[in-house]
Amino acid sequence: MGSISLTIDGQQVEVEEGATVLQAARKADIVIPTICDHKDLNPYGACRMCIVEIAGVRGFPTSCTTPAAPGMQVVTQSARLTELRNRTLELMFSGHPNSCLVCIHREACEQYRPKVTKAARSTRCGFCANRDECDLRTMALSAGKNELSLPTLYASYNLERDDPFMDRDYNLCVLCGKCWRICEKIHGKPAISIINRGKWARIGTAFDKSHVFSGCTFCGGCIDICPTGTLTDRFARWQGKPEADTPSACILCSEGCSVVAQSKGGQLLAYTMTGFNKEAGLCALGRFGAAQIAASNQRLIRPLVREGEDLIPFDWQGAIAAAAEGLKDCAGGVVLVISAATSREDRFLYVQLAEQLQGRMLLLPAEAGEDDPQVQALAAAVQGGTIRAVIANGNLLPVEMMAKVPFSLIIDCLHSPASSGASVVLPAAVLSESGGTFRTATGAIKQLAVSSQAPGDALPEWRIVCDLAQALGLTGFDFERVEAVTPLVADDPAPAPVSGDPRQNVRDLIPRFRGHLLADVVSALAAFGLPTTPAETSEETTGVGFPILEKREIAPNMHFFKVKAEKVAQFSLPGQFVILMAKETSERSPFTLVDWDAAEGTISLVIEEVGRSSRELASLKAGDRIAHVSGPLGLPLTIENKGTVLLGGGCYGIGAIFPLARALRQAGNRVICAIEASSAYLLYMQKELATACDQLIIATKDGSEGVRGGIQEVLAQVAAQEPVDQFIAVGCTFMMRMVTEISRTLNIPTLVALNPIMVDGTGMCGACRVSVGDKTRFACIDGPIFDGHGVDWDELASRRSAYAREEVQALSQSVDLNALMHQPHAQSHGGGCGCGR
Amino acid sequence: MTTNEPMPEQTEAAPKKGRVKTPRQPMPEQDPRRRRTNFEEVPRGYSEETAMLEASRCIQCKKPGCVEGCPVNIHIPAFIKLIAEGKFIDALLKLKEQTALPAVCGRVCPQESQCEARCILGKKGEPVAIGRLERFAADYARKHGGVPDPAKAAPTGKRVAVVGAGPAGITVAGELARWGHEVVMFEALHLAGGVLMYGIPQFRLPKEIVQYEVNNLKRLGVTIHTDYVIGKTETVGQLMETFDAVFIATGAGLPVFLGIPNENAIGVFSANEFLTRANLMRAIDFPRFATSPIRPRRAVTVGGGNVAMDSARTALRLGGESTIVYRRSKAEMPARAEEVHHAEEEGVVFHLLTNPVRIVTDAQNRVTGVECLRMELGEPDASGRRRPVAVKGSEFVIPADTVIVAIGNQPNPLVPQTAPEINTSKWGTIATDPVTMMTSKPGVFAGGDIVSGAATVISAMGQGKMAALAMHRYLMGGDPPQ
Amino acid sequence: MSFAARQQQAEAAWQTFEQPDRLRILVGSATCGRAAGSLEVMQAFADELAKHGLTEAADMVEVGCLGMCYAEVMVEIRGRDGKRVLYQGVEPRHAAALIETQLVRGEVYLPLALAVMTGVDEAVPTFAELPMIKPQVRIVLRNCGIIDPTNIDHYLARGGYQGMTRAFAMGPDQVIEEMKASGLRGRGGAGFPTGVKWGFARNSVADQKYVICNADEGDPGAFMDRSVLEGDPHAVLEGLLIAGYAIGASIGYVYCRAEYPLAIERLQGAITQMHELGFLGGDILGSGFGFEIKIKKGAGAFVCGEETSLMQSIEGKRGMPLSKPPFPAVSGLFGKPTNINNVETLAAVSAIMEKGAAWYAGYGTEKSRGTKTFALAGKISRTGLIEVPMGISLRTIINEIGGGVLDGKQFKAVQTGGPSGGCIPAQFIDLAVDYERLAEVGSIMGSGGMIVIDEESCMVDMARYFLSFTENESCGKCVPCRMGTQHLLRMLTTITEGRGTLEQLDIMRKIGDAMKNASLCGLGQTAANPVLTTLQYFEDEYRAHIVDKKCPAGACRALIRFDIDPARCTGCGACLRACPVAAISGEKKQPHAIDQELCIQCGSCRQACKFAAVLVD
Repeated sequence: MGSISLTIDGQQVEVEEGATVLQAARKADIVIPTICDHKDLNPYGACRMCIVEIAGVRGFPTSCTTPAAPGMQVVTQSARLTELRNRTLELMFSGHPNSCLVCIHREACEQYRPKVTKAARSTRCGFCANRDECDLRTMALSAGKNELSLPTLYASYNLERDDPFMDRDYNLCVLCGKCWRICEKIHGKPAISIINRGKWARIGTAFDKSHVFSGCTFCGGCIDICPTGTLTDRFARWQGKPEADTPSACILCSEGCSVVAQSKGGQLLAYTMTGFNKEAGLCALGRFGAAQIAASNQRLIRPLVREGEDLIPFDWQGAIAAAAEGLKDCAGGVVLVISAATSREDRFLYVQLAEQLQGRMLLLPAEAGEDDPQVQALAAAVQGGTIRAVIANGNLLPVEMMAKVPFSLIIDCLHSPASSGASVVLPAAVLSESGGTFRTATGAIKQLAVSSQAPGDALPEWRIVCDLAQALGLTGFDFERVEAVTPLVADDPAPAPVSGDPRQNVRDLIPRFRGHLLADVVSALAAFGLPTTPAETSEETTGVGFPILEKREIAPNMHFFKVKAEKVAQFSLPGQFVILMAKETSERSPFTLVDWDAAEGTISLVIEEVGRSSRELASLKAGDRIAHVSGPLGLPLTIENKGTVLLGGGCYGIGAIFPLARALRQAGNRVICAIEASSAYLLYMQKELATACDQLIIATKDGSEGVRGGIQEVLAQVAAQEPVDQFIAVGCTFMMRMVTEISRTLNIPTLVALNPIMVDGTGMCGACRVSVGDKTRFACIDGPIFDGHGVDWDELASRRSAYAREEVQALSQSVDLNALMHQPHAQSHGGGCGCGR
Repeated sequence: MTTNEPMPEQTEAAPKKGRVKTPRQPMPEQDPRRRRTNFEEVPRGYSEETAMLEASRCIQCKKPGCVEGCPVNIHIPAFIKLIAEGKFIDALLKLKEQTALPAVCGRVCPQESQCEARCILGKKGEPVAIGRLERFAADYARKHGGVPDPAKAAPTGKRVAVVGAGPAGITVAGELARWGHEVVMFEALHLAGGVLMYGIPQFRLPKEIVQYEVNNLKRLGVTIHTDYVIGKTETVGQLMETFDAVFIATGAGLPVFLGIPNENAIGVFSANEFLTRANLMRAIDFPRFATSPIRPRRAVTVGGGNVAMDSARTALRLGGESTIVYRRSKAEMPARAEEVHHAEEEGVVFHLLTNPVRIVTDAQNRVTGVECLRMELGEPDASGRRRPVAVKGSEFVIPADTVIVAIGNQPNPLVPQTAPEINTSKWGTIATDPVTMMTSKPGVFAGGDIVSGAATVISAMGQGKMAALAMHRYLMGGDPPQ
Repeated sequence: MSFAARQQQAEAAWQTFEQPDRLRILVGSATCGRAAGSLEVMQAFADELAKHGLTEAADMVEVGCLGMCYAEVMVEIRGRDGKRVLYQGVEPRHAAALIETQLVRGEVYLPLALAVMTGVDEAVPTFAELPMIKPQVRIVLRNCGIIDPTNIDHYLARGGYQGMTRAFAMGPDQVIEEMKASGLRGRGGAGFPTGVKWGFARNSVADQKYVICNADEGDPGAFMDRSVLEGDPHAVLEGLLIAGYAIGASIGYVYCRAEYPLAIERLQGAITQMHELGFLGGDILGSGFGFEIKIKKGAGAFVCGEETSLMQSIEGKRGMPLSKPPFPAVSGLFGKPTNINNVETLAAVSAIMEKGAAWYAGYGTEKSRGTKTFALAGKISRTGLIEVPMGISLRTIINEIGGGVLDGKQFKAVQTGGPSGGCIPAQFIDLAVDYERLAEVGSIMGSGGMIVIDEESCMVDMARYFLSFTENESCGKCVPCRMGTQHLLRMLTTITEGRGTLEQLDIMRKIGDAMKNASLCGLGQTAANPVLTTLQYFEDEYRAHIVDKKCPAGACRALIRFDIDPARCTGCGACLRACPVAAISGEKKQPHAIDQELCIQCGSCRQACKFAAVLVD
C-alpha cells in the first residue's frame, strides 16, 4: 500500500492508504476527542465527537469513519466544531448520571470521601466504581464542562446481576458499542448487540436472555473495553484502578493462555486479555476464575500437622520437620501425584524428589481428579500395602485411600477432602503468586510472572519442595530463586490439549483445578453446569427471624422495607434506630427508623445499598426474613415546641427525617423539610414528607428539580427569609458537616444524627465513639443525635472509613455476590420464533 | 512433701498412702509456637486415664475446703470420686446439681484462687486439678451424647424474666426453671451467652460449648428472646407488668477508655470491641462472616487483667506482634497466673511499669504508636498495692497500628437509665440488698457484674445461685425442692 | 415464445378483459380497500350475481387502488352497454341495488355513482374530469386500480416489460444515459439523480453487485409504495431488473416491510410469473443478462428505510446506519457495490424506459423533473394517494385535488416529508412543489407525506407527535439522534402541558442544530425538522403555551377547559351521554354544566354537541 499526503490543521501528514482521518490526525499528534473509537475496532461513528471540517465535503464528517484522501484539507478545531462537540457531549452526558460533575460541591466532596462507595448502581460519579477509569468523566473534565443545561434522563434500568461474574448497569451506558463490537471481533457472532430502539436502546442479548444462554463465552472483553462503569467484573469491581499490569500465562489448563495479570495491593484482580483480538481471547475460568481462586476463602494459609483427629496449624519449620519425619523411612514406598497444572520448575523438583526417594511419580492432566485411571491404579496398589507414603499437590487422592497409607503429605492451595485427611498439609502459592515457566499443549514455553502475594504463610511449591528435600537430607535442592531451576528443566513433553474449546464454549470449561471442583471455589461456574460438591444441609432457619412484609426499590439503590417486629414497633420513638443482621453471618449494622406502626407491629426502613450488609439485605424479598432486628436503639429526639424547625435530609436521611417531622409538627412547630439529592431521579418519599411538614423544599445538585445545590443552599435561603429556631440534619457525613458550618455562621442551633460504625449498638464496644464538644460520646447510647456544632467531623469521617479496604474485600470474596445471581433463565424462551430454543 | 507425714482430715475412703505420691497431672497443651497461629483451644483436655489418675489424688476430705472455696458450692469430692471410679456421666450429673455451666467453669474459673486454693494437698504440694476434672467430666458427657435433663419440679405458675443471658442470667434461669418457674430470658445481642460469647476467646472457651449449654437451658423450658434490649425494646417497669419477678444481669458492658490524647484514632479499640469482633461476630472467619477483622501488625494492649491477656493473645493470633503495657509490675497484675503464663509462652511482650500517655497518629488519623512513660512503684495506695509513679522524662514510643484498651468496664447504663425507680451506686452499679438480692424496686432482683462491677464468670454465677434462691423464696415463701 | 409473441398473447387477454359487452365488476382491494371492507363487498356481489344467475356472465376482479381513499370501497361496474361507472362508498348492502340497477336494468345507480370512467354521462361526471383527478399525471400509478395486479398479461398489454426490452437493446451505459436524461431523482426522499447513482455503481468493479428495491415505507401516513406494490408489482420489478442490468448486478432484493403482507404476496406472485416468462433467471430473453430477485421482509424499523441500515438488516444484523463513505455504490450489501432505489423510483424507471427520457422530462420543473406521488392526509376533504407533476402549487393540491380543508376550517399549514420533514405555513400556499422550493422554506420532499393542518391543530402538539415517532424509531446508535429526540420530546411535552420555559425554545434550537449537523444518518439529521420549522413559523404558539399557559388551537388538554354556553345549550343531553367521566350534569331541556374537577378535556362533549354550545378556552 502506498502512502498518501493530506493537510490537517495546516499540517502536512503522510499516512498509509486506507487510514482514517482520525488516524492521520493522531499520527500528527493532533488530538480529536472520541469515545466510541478504539484502535482495535473498526470505525463506528456513533459518538459523533470526532467530527471535523473537510474542504469540499458537506457538513461535518466524523474523522473516525472518513478515509484519508490525498490532498484532503482537514480542520479539526473551529468555533463551530467546538460548539457542536460541546452540544453532543452534553447530549451524551444527559444519558449518563452526571450530577457529580456539575455539582458545585464536587471538589470538596471528592476530597472528603476518597474511599469507594460500594453502591449497587452508580447513580453518580461519587458512587462509581469506575470513577478513576471513566473516559467520559475525563473527557468532560477536560472540556471543562460543569454547565450542563440538559437534565439527566436516567433510564432507571435495574442493575443486571443475573449473570455470573458481571454486574451490568445500563444506566451508565452511552452506547459507544465497544462491547458488542469486541464481542463480534473475538467470537465472530456477537452474543450481545444493541437491542430495542430509541430511548430504550441498550446493549443486550437476543430476547434479553441471560448471557449464560446467549452464546457468551465470558471472555471479559466487553468489560475490559467498556469506557464507562456499565460493565463491571463483579469480583474486582470495587478494587479501583489496578496498580500493575503484568504479562504472564494461565496454568489452569494445558492451553496456557497468555494473560495480563492485573493486581492491586498484592492481590490478583483479574487475568485479562493481552490484546483485543481473537487470538488473545480467554475462557471464563481464566478471565474471572483465576482471581477468585487466588482470593478464595478456602485457601490453605498455614501449614497443618495432624494431631489425633485434628489438623493443627503449625509454623513452617515445625511443619517441614513433621513432613520430613513422616517421609524419613519411606524411601522406595513413596508415590507423588502431581497435577499438570504446575509450573515446569515445580514439576521438575517433584520429579527430583521422587527419584531421590526412589519413589514413583504420577503426572495427572490438569483437569483430572481423583477418578483419574492412574489414581485408581494407585488405589489398587495401596491395597497391596507396599506404599508407605503419598505426596500430592492437589485434591487428587481419595480419602479412603489416604487412610490406608501411613503418611500422606498434601502440598496444595485449597482446603479439600484430601487436605483434611492428610498427615501434613503445606500451603502453596499458585497462579500469579508463583513464578517459573509453563509449557502449553502447542509446545510453547511461557513465562509465569509473580504479580500478587500468596495469602497467609503459603509459599511457592519449588520453595516447599526444596525445604522438604533439604530437611530429608537430600542434595541438589539448594535453589534460592526459581529462575535457577529453569535451565535444568529438560525438554519436557507438551501436555495433551484440553478437549473442547473453553474459549469458545463455556460448557467446555475444565471442571477441576488440581482435583478441586472449580465450581466449589468459583461458585458462579455452577451456572454453566460445572459440577459442585453437594452442600451439606445448612442450618435450619425457617420461621426464625423477622418477616419482610414489603420491599421496594423506591429510588436507585434505596430500598424501602416494612418488617414485622412487634416489640420494636411498640416502643419506637423519633430519632431511634435498629440494628439489623440479614443473616447469621452478617455484620450488625444500624439503620434509622423511618416509620413504625405499633398496632400493626411493623417498622419501616429505607436502606441504601452501599456495601455487603446492605447488599445482603437488598437481596432479600418480601416474604423472606431478616435474621436479627434489634431495637429501638439510641436516644430519641427530644420533641419540644421550638418554633420553626428546619429538617434537612439527604440519602437515607430523606426517609429518616420523616418521623422527626411528624412528631415536631404535632408538637406545634412550624416544620420545614428540605431534602437533597444529586439529581431528581434519586429523590423519594416527597409525598409522604409533604404531608408531614408545613413546607417541603427540594434541592438537587444538578438543578433537575427544585433549588440547584444542596441543604446548604436551602438553609441559607430559608434563614434569609424567616428565623429558624432549630435545624436538624440527617444524611451523609459530608452534608452534615457542610451544613453545620453554615448554621454556625447563622447562629442556628443545630442537631445532627451521626452515623459512625457500630457493632453492638448497646454501649458495649465503643466502636461508635465520636468526639462532641471535646468529649468522647457513644453514638449508640448517648446519641445518635448530637449538637452539630460540637462534632469533630474529621474524626468521624476518618473513623467511618476505618474498614474501607476490608469492606471491599468482603464484597468481592463473599459468596453472597453470586447469591444475587438469579436462577438461570429457562433455556427455552417459548418457541415460535424458529430459533430452535 | 514427705510421705510419712500423716495427712490431716483423712476419710475412710482415703487412698493408700502411696497414692498421694501421684503428681498433679498436667493437661496436654498445644505447643506455644504453634498455637499462636491458631484459634484452637490451648489445653487439649485430659484423657480418661489421666482424669482417673488425677481424680485418684483427691483424699476426700471430710470437711472439704474446696467446696467452701467454690462460689456455687459444687460437691467437689463427690464428683471427683465418681471420676476416679470411671463413672464419668454420674460425675457430671453430680456437678450439675450445683452448676449450670460445668464445661465453662472448668475452663475459665480462677480455680487457683478458689477451690484449688483451699485444697489440702496444696498446702504442702500441688492441689488436685479440680477445674481440669470438671472440664473433663463435662466434655466427656458432651462427646458421649449428653446427660439426661435434671428433674424438674411441678410448675409453680410463676413467671420470671431474666435480663441478660450471661453467666449470672444463665445460672438464675437454670435454677428457677428446675424449680418449676416459667423463665423468659432477654438478650440484647443476637446470641445468648453474654461475655462467654463475645468476650472470652475461642482458644480459651470454644463457642460451641457455650451454645451447647444454652441449648440445655432451652431444653429445660427456658424461653430465650435474643435481639431484645431491655431498657430500649421494653423497660424493666414494663416487664414487671407481666412477670412476677425480674432478674437483672446486664453485666459490666461499658468500656472504660484511658482519656489520653488521640484515643479516638483509627486502630484504638476497646477490648470489648476487639474481642466482640473476633468472637461473637466471628471476624476470625472473615470473609465467610461479614464483620471486618482487625489484622494488627503491631498490637499494644493496655491493661493487666484477664481481658487484657485475652486481647493480647487474640491479637497475636490475628497475625501480629503483641505487646502488653501495664503500669504496675507483674505481681500486681489482676490476671490469672495461667493466662499470663500462656501469654508469655506464646510470645506476648510485656512492658511493665509503663503507662501510655498519648496515642501517636498519622495524617489519616490512624495509629502509628503509643507514647508511654516509665513508672516506678511508690507508696502503697488504698488498695494496698504500691502506687505507680511516673519517671520524669522517660517518654518513649512503642510503634503500633492497633491499640487495645483493656482497663476495665463500667456497668451497662441501659437498664439503670430507663428504670429510675431502681437505685444505683455512684459507680453506676445496681444497689441490692446483700441478703435478698432485691433492688429498691420490689420483685426486681439483680446480680452479676451489674451489681458487683466487672468480676469473674464464676462470681457472677455464684451471685446467680444466691439470687435464684432468694427469688424462689420471694415468689413461693419457702425453700426450693432439693 | 418470443417476447413479441408473448406480448400479443397478453394483448389478446387484455382485449378480452376490456371487451365492452362482458359484465365486469372491479373492486378496489388493495389493503386500504380491504380495510374499508372490499372483500365483504365482493362476497355480497358474488351472492347477488348468483341470485341473478350472472355468475358466469360477469368477471369480478380485485384491482389496486385508485388513490381516492376518502371514497373507499370503490367499485367499477361495466354493464352490458359497456358503460363503466365508478361507485364510491360501496357497502355490502348496496350490492343488490347496484346489480339490479346497472347490470339488470342498465341504468346508473346515482346515489353512489362517482364518475364514469369513459365517455360522458349527463348525471355523472367523467373520471378524468374529476377535480381530484384532473390535475394529476399518473405515471407511477399508471396501472393502479386499472389492471388486475395478479395478471402479468394486463401489465404486458399496457406496455409492460417494453422498457426492459428497450434497455437490453440499448446496453447498460445507454440506459444510464437515458436515466440521466430523464432527470429522474430518487423518490425515497433525498432526491439524488438516479442515473448518476447508477453510474457510480456501474463504475465499481466487483465480482458481484446488488440492486435493492427499498420498500420499507415507514413515514406515518405514507402508503405510496404499498399502493404501487399492491396495484402494479411488475412496474417495480421491471424497474429493479433494469437497474440491475444497468449497473451489472445479478441479484436484486426487494426489502419490504412485513406489515405489507398483500404487497409481499403480490410481489411473490409477480416474481413467479416473471420466471415463467423467462424474465428472470440466466440469459433473459437472450440478452446474456441473468438476474434473480429475492424478497426480504423487514420487521418494521423506520431506520431501515435508511439505505445502510437496510443493507445491515438484509445481512441479518441489527438495522443500524453506517457512516458514509464508503458509499453503497462502492461497498454496500455484503461489502459489494450496491445500488438502492425506492419503489416509486423504480416504477418510474420502467415507465421512462418504455416511453423515453424526453417524455418523462417533459413534466415538472427545471431541476425536478417528472411527477411525484403524495399521500394526502390530515384535515382535508379528499384524502388519498395522488400523483402530480413537479412544480404544481400547494394551492392546487390542497384546494382542488384535496377539495380544501375539512369542514371549511381555516388552512394553517401543511407538513411535508413525514417526520423528517417540515411545516409549511399558510403564507406559502402558492409555493410550487419541487425539491428546491420545499428546501427553501425549510421542509423536504421526503417520500411524499403531506399532512394538511387546520386552525384547530396545535403546532407544538404536532411537533410533539412527530418527535414521539422519531424518538421511538431512532436506532439509538449515535448520540445526537438518540438523546436529542428524547430531550426534544420531553421539552415539547412539558410545553404542551404548560410547564415549559422560554429558555427551552433556545435549547431546542441548539439541540436541533446539533442533531442536524452531527447525526450519523438522515433520520437524526432531519428528526428535529418538525420542531425547527414550527419554531420558525409558529413561535408565537410556543410562547402562548409557555407564557400564557394557553393552547391557541385548543388542542393541548392540560391547557384548555371546556365550558357550556348556557345561551346555546338546549339541554338535549348529548354531551352528558358522551362524557366518559360523568363530568357533565344538567336537567333535561335546561343548560348543562361541566364539572371542571372531573373533566379530562377529552373533547367528546364538543364533538357530540349539535349546537356548538361547548366552548373551548
